[in-house]
Amino acid sequence: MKLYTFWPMLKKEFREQNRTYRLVISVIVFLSLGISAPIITWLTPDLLKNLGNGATIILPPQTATDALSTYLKNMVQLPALVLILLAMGTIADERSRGTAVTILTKPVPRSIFVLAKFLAYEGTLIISLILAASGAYYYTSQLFSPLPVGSFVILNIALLAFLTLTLALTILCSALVRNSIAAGGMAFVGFLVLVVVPNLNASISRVLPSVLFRPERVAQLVAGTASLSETLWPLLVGLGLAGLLVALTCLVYHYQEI
Amino acid sequence: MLLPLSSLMTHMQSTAPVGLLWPLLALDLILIVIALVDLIRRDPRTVRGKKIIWALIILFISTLGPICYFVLGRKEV
Repeated sequence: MKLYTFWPMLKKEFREQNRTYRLVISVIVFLSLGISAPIITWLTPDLLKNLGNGATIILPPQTATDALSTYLKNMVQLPALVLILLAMGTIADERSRGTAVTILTKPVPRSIFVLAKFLAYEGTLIISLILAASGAYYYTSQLFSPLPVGSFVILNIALLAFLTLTLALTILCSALVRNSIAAGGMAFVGFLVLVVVPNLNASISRVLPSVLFRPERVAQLVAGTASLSETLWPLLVGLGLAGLLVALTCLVYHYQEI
Repeated sequence: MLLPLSSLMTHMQSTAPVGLLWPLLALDLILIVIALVDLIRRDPRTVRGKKIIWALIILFISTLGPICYFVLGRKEV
Protein backbone atom coordinates (compact mmCIF):
# COMPACT_ATOMS: atom_id res chain seq x y z
CA MET A 1 0.00 0.00 0.00
CA LYS A 2 1.35 3.43 -0.92
CA LEU A 3 1.34 5.04 2.52
CA TYR A 4 2.43 8.44 1.23
CA THR A 5 -0.93 8.74 -0.56
CA PHE A 6 -2.97 6.85 2.05
CA TRP A 7 -2.36 9.12 5.06
CA PRO A 8 -3.25 12.41 3.31
CA MET A 9 -6.41 10.75 1.94
CA LEU A 10 -7.36 9.45 5.40
CA LYS A 11 -6.73 12.89 6.93
CA LYS A 12 -8.87 14.50 4.22
CA GLU A 13 -11.70 12.04 4.95
CA PHE A 14 -11.52 12.69 8.71
CA ARG A 15 -11.63 16.44 8.08
CA GLU A 16 -14.66 15.83 5.86
CA GLN A 17 -16.35 13.84 8.66
CA ASN A 18 -15.85 16.80 10.97
CA ARG A 19 -16.75 19.54 8.49
CA THR A 20 -20.01 17.90 7.41
CA TYR A 21 -21.01 17.23 11.07
CA ARG A 22 -21.08 13.46 10.42
CA LEU A 23 -18.91 12.79 13.48
CA VAL A 24 -21.09 14.99 15.73
CA ILE A 25 -24.35 13.46 14.45
CA SER A 26 -23.06 9.94 14.89
CA VAL A 27 -21.71 10.61 18.41
CA ILE A 28 -24.94 12.30 19.56
CA VAL A 29 -27.26 9.61 18.17
CA PHE A 30 -25.21 6.71 19.51
CA LEU A 31 -24.70 8.33 22.92
CA SER A 32 -28.41 9.20 23.23
CA LEU A 33 -29.40 5.62 22.46
CA GLY A 34 -26.79 4.22 24.82
CA ILE A 35 -27.97 6.40 27.68
CA SER A 36 -31.69 5.99 27.01
CA ALA A 37 -31.67 2.16 26.99
CA PRO A 38 -31.18 1.66 30.76
CA ILE A 39 -33.54 4.58 31.50
CA ILE A 40 -36.32 3.11 29.34
CA THR A 41 -35.82 -0.34 30.89
CA TRP A 42 -35.98 1.18 34.35
CA LEU A 43 -39.20 3.01 33.50
CA THR A 44 -40.95 0.19 31.58
CA PRO A 45 -42.92 -1.30 34.50
CA ASP A 46 -44.04 2.18 35.54
CA LEU A 47 -44.98 3.19 32.01
CA LEU A 48 -46.99 -0.01 31.49
CA LYS A 49 -48.78 0.49 34.81
CA ASN A 50 -49.95 3.91 33.65
CA LEU A 51 -50.81 2.79 30.11
CA GLY A 52 -53.70 0.37 30.58
CA ASN A 53 -57.28 1.63 30.83
CA GLY A 54 -58.18 -0.33 33.89
CA ALA A 55 -56.09 -3.32 32.81
CA THR A 56 -53.16 -4.14 35.04
CA ILE A 57 -49.88 -5.25 33.49
CA ILE A 58 -47.38 -6.45 36.05
CA LEU A 59 -43.79 -7.06 34.97
CA PRO A 60 -41.10 -8.76 37.03
CA PRO A 61 -38.53 -6.28 38.39
CA GLN A 62 -36.19 -5.18 35.59
CA THR A 63 -32.53 -6.15 35.86
CA ALA A 64 -29.20 -5.03 34.39
CA THR A 65 -29.50 -7.87 31.82
CA ASP A 66 -32.85 -6.44 30.62
CA ALA A 67 -31.18 -3.03 30.26
CA LEU A 68 -28.42 -4.70 28.23
CA SER A 69 -30.98 -6.39 25.94
CA THR A 70 -32.73 -3.04 25.36
CA TYR A 71 -29.36 -1.42 24.62
CA LEU A 72 -28.54 -4.10 22.02
CA LYS A 73 -32.02 -3.82 20.43
CA ASN A 74 -31.63 -0.02 20.22
CA MET A 75 -28.13 -0.20 18.80
CA VAL A 76 -28.92 -2.47 15.84
CA GLN A 77 -31.82 -0.38 14.54
CA LEU A 78 -31.43 3.41 14.51
CA PRO A 79 -27.59 3.49 14.42
CA ALA A 80 -27.58 1.23 11.35
CA LEU A 81 -30.10 3.55 9.68
CA VAL A 82 -28.01 6.60 10.63
CA LEU A 83 -24.86 4.94 9.25
CA ILE A 84 -26.65 4.25 5.96
CA LEU A 85 -27.85 7.87 5.78
CA LEU A 86 -24.39 9.25 6.55
CA ALA A 87 -22.39 6.98 4.24
CA MET A 88 -24.76 6.52 1.28
CA GLY A 89 -23.32 9.46 -0.65
CA THR A 90 -19.68 8.96 0.21
CA ILE A 91 -18.63 7.71 -3.25
CA ALA A 92 -21.83 8.34 -5.24
CA ASP A 93 -21.85 12.09 -4.47
CA GLU A 94 -18.16 12.52 -5.28
CA ARG A 95 -18.76 10.88 -8.64
CA SER A 96 -21.89 12.87 -9.48
CA ARG A 97 -20.27 16.19 -8.39
CA GLY A 98 -17.08 15.38 -10.28
CA THR A 99 -14.76 15.76 -7.26
CA ALA A 100 -13.69 12.10 -7.55
CA VAL A 101 -12.18 12.90 -10.96
CA THR A 102 -10.08 15.74 -9.46
CA ILE A 103 -8.68 13.43 -6.76
CA LEU A 104 -8.14 10.40 -8.97
CA THR A 105 -6.25 12.33 -11.66
CA LYS A 106 -3.51 12.67 -9.01
CA PRO A 107 -1.48 9.49 -8.35
CA VAL A 108 -4.01 8.09 -5.88
CA PRO A 109 -4.97 4.46 -6.46
CA ARG A 110 -8.71 3.88 -6.41
CA SER A 111 -8.39 1.22 -3.72
CA ILE A 112 -6.77 3.81 -1.41
CA PHE A 113 -9.59 6.23 -2.20
CA VAL A 114 -12.14 3.58 -1.11
CA LEU A 115 -10.11 2.36 1.89
CA ALA A 116 -9.61 5.89 3.25
CA LYS A 117 -13.34 6.53 3.06
CA PHE A 118 -14.19 3.24 4.76
CA LEU A 119 -11.64 3.74 7.56
CA ALA A 120 -12.78 7.32 8.22
CA TYR A 121 -16.37 6.11 8.69
CA GLU A 122 -15.12 3.15 10.72
CA GLY A 123 -13.24 5.60 12.98
CA THR A 124 -16.40 7.63 13.45
CA LEU A 125 -18.31 4.41 14.21
CA ILE A 126 -15.74 3.24 16.77
CA ILE A 127 -15.65 6.62 18.60
CA SER A 128 -19.46 6.74 18.69
CA LEU A 129 -19.80 3.15 19.86
CA ILE A 130 -17.23 3.59 22.65
CA LEU A 131 -19.12 6.64 23.94
CA ALA A 132 -22.51 4.87 23.65
CA ALA A 133 -21.20 1.81 25.47
CA SER A 134 -19.65 3.95 28.23
CA GLY A 135 -22.94 5.84 28.66
CA ALA A 136 -24.97 2.63 28.75
CA TYR A 137 -22.59 1.02 31.23
CA TYR A 138 -22.61 4.03 33.55
CA TYR A 139 -26.39 4.41 33.51
CA THR A 140 -26.95 0.66 33.99
CA SER A 141 -24.61 0.74 37.00
CA GLN A 142 -26.46 3.73 38.44
CA LEU A 143 -30.00 2.42 37.91
CA PHE A 144 -29.45 -1.36 38.30
CA SER A 145 -26.10 -3.04 39.02
CA PRO A 146 -22.76 -3.08 37.17
CA LEU A 147 -22.61 -5.50 34.23
CA PRO A 148 -19.72 -7.98 33.86
CA VAL A 149 -17.13 -5.97 31.89
CA GLY A 150 -15.89 -8.91 29.76
CA SER A 151 -19.35 -9.86 28.43
CA PHE A 152 -20.24 -6.22 27.86
CA VAL A 153 -17.06 -5.68 25.80
CA ILE A 154 -17.72 -8.86 23.73
CA LEU A 155 -21.29 -7.74 22.98
CA ASN A 156 -20.01 -4.32 21.91
CA ILE A 157 -17.46 -5.96 19.60
CA ALA A 158 -20.39 -7.94 18.13
CA LEU A 159 -22.24 -4.63 17.67
CA LEU A 160 -19.16 -3.19 15.99
CA ALA A 161 -18.96 -6.21 13.66
CA PHE A 162 -22.66 -5.90 12.76
CA LEU A 163 -22.48 -2.14 12.14
CA THR A 164 -19.19 -2.48 10.21
CA LEU A 165 -20.96 -4.98 7.95
CA THR A 166 -23.78 -2.46 7.38
CA LEU A 167 -21.23 0.29 6.71
CA ALA A 168 -19.26 -1.83 4.22
CA LEU A 169 -22.51 -2.73 2.44
CA THR A 170 -23.49 0.97 2.22
CA ILE A 171 -20.10 1.96 0.78
CA LEU A 172 -20.36 -0.86 -1.78
CA CYS A 173 -23.82 0.41 -2.83
CA SER A 174 -22.42 3.96 -3.01
CA ALA A 175 -19.73 2.72 -5.41
CA LEU A 176 -22.27 0.88 -7.56
CA VAL A 177 -24.56 3.83 -8.40
CA ARG A 178 -24.13 7.57 -8.93
CA ASN A 179 -27.26 8.59 -7.00
CA SER A 180 -26.86 8.69 -3.21
CA ILE A 181 -30.57 8.13 -2.52
CA ALA A 182 -30.54 5.01 -4.71
CA ALA A 183 -27.39 3.84 -2.91
CA GLY A 184 -29.13 4.41 0.44
CA GLY A 185 -32.20 2.45 -0.74
CA MET A 186 -30.05 -0.46 -1.89
CA ALA A 187 -28.09 -0.44 1.37
CA PHE A 188 -31.34 -0.39 3.36
CA VAL A 189 -32.64 -3.44 1.46
CA GLY A 190 -29.28 -5.14 2.12
CA PHE A 191 -29.57 -4.25 5.82
CA LEU A 192 -33.09 -5.77 5.94
CA VAL A 193 -31.76 -8.95 4.32
CA LEU A 194 -28.98 -9.01 6.91
CA VAL A 195 -31.57 -8.78 9.70
CA VAL A 196 -34.23 -11.11 8.21
CA VAL A 197 -32.18 -13.93 6.64
CA PRO A 198 -30.66 -15.17 9.93
CA ASN A 199 -34.21 -15.68 11.24
CA LEU A 200 -35.02 -17.98 8.32
CA ASN A 201 -32.01 -20.26 8.46
CA ALA A 202 -30.51 -21.59 11.70
CA SER A 203 -27.12 -22.48 10.21
CA ILE A 204 -26.66 -18.95 8.80
CA SER A 205 -27.85 -17.30 12.01
CA ARG A 206 -25.29 -19.25 14.07
CA VAL A 207 -22.36 -17.53 12.36
CA LEU A 208 -23.62 -13.94 12.09
CA PRO A 209 -22.86 -11.39 14.86
CA SER A 210 -26.59 -10.70 15.38
CA VAL A 211 -26.97 -14.15 16.99
CA LEU A 212 -25.16 -12.80 20.06
CA PHE A 213 -27.94 -10.22 20.60
CA ARG A 214 -30.59 -12.90 21.25
CA PRO A 215 -31.83 -12.75 24.87
CA GLU A 216 -30.75 -16.33 25.67
CA ARG A 217 -27.21 -15.66 24.35
CA VAL A 218 -27.02 -12.36 26.25
CA ALA A 219 -28.07 -14.18 29.44
CA GLN A 220 -25.39 -16.86 28.82
CA LEU A 221 -22.70 -14.23 28.25
CA VAL A 222 -23.67 -12.29 31.36
CA ALA A 223 -23.71 -15.49 33.43
CA GLY A 224 -20.31 -16.50 31.97
CA THR A 225 -21.64 -19.83 30.59
CA ALA A 226 -21.30 -19.06 26.84
CA SER A 227 -18.86 -21.23 24.91
CA LEU A 228 -15.80 -19.55 23.40
CA SER A 229 -16.21 -20.97 19.88
CA GLU A 230 -19.90 -20.04 19.68
CA THR A 231 -18.97 -16.49 20.70
CA LEU A 232 -15.85 -16.03 18.57
CA TRP A 233 -17.17 -17.39 15.27
CA PRO A 234 -19.93 -14.81 14.76
CA LEU A 235 -17.43 -12.00 15.51
CA LEU A 236 -14.83 -13.33 13.06
CA VAL A 237 -17.41 -14.05 10.35
CA GLY A 238 -18.95 -10.56 10.74
CA LEU A 239 -15.61 -8.77 10.47
CA GLY A 240 -14.44 -11.11 7.69
CA LEU A 241 -17.58 -10.44 5.63
CA ALA A 242 -17.11 -6.69 6.11
CA GLY A 243 -13.51 -7.04 4.86
CA LEU A 244 -14.74 -8.99 1.82
CA LEU A 245 -17.32 -6.31 1.02
CA VAL A 246 -14.63 -3.58 1.21
CA ALA A 247 -12.38 -5.64 -1.12
CA LEU A 248 -15.35 -6.06 -3.48
CA THR A 249 -15.95 -2.29 -3.38
CA CYS A 250 -12.30 -1.65 -4.35
CA LEU A 251 -12.65 -4.12 -7.21
CA VAL A 252 -15.96 -2.66 -8.45
CA TYR A 253 -14.63 0.89 -8.25
CA HIS A 254 -11.40 -0.09 -10.01
CA TYR A 255 -13.28 -1.02 -13.20
CA GLN A 256 -15.82 1.78 -13.12
CA GLU A 257 -15.98 4.82 -15.33
CA ILE A 258 -15.64 7.89 -13.10
CA MET B 1 -34.69 8.80 20.78
CA LEU B 2 -37.24 6.05 20.79
CA LEU B 3 -39.63 7.76 23.22
CA PRO B 4 -40.51 11.48 23.03
CA LEU B 5 -38.13 13.17 25.46
CA SER B 6 -40.74 15.51 26.93
CA SER B 7 -43.02 12.64 28.01
CA LEU B 8 -40.06 10.74 29.39
CA MET B 9 -38.98 13.80 31.38
CA THR B 10 -42.47 14.41 32.79
CA HIS B 11 -42.80 10.79 33.80
CA MET B 12 -39.37 10.54 35.34
CA GLN B 13 -39.58 13.66 37.45
CA SER B 14 -41.50 11.74 40.10
CA THR B 15 -39.69 8.42 39.82
CA ALA B 16 -36.02 8.85 38.90
CA PRO B 17 -33.02 10.93 39.86
CA VAL B 18 -33.61 13.86 37.49
CA GLY B 19 -29.86 14.57 37.26
CA LEU B 20 -29.45 11.42 35.16
CA LEU B 21 -31.78 12.81 32.51
CA TRP B 22 -30.09 16.10 31.74
CA PRO B 23 -27.38 14.66 29.48
CA LEU B 24 -30.09 13.02 27.36
CA LEU B 25 -31.97 16.29 26.98
CA ALA B 26 -28.74 18.22 26.35
CA LEU B 27 -27.68 15.86 23.54
CA ASP B 28 -31.00 16.29 21.76
CA LEU B 29 -30.79 20.08 22.15
CA ILE B 30 -27.18 20.22 20.88
CA LEU B 31 -28.20 18.37 17.71
CA ILE B 32 -31.14 20.74 17.13
CA VAL B 33 -29.04 23.87 17.80
CA ILE B 34 -26.18 22.77 15.50
CA ALA B 35 -28.65 22.01 12.70
CA LEU B 36 -30.56 25.29 13.15
CA VAL B 37 -27.38 27.42 13.29
CA ASP B 38 -26.09 25.76 10.12
CA LEU B 39 -29.45 26.30 8.41
CA ILE B 40 -29.64 30.00 9.39
CA ARG B 41 -26.05 30.75 8.31
CA ARG B 42 -26.34 28.87 5.03
CA ASP B 43 -26.91 30.58 1.70
CA PRO B 44 -30.47 29.61 0.56
CA ARG B 45 -29.02 28.46 -2.78
CA THR B 46 -27.12 25.72 -0.96
CA VAL B 47 -30.24 24.38 0.75
CA ARG B 48 -32.51 21.87 -0.97
CA GLY B 49 -36.07 23.23 -0.66
CA LYS B 50 -37.25 26.04 1.60
CA LYS B 51 -35.39 26.95 4.79
CA ILE B 52 -38.61 27.28 6.82
CA ILE B 53 -39.64 23.69 5.99
CA TRP B 54 -36.24 22.40 7.15
CA ALA B 55 -36.51 24.51 10.33
CA LEU B 56 -39.85 22.85 11.12
CA ILE B 57 -38.45 19.38 10.36
CA ILE B 58 -35.44 20.02 12.62
CA LEU B 59 -37.62 21.33 15.45
CA PHE B 60 -40.45 18.82 15.37
CA ILE B 61 -38.97 15.49 14.25
CA SER B 62 -36.88 14.40 17.20
CA THR B 63 -33.32 13.23 16.35
CA LEU B 64 -34.11 12.11 12.79
CA GLY B 65 -35.12 15.68 11.73
CA PRO B 66 -31.64 17.24 12.20
CA ILE B 67 -30.01 14.13 10.68
CA CYS B 68 -32.24 14.35 7.58
CA TYR B 69 -31.34 18.05 7.25
CA PHE B 70 -27.59 17.36 7.42
CA VAL B 71 -27.76 14.48 4.97
CA LEU B 72 -30.47 15.54 2.53
CA GLY B 73 -31.07 19.25 3.08
CA ARG B 74 -27.63 20.64 2.26
CA LYS B 75 -26.13 21.03 -1.18
CA GLU B 76 -22.35 20.92 -1.52
CA VAL B 77 -21.05 23.60 -3.88
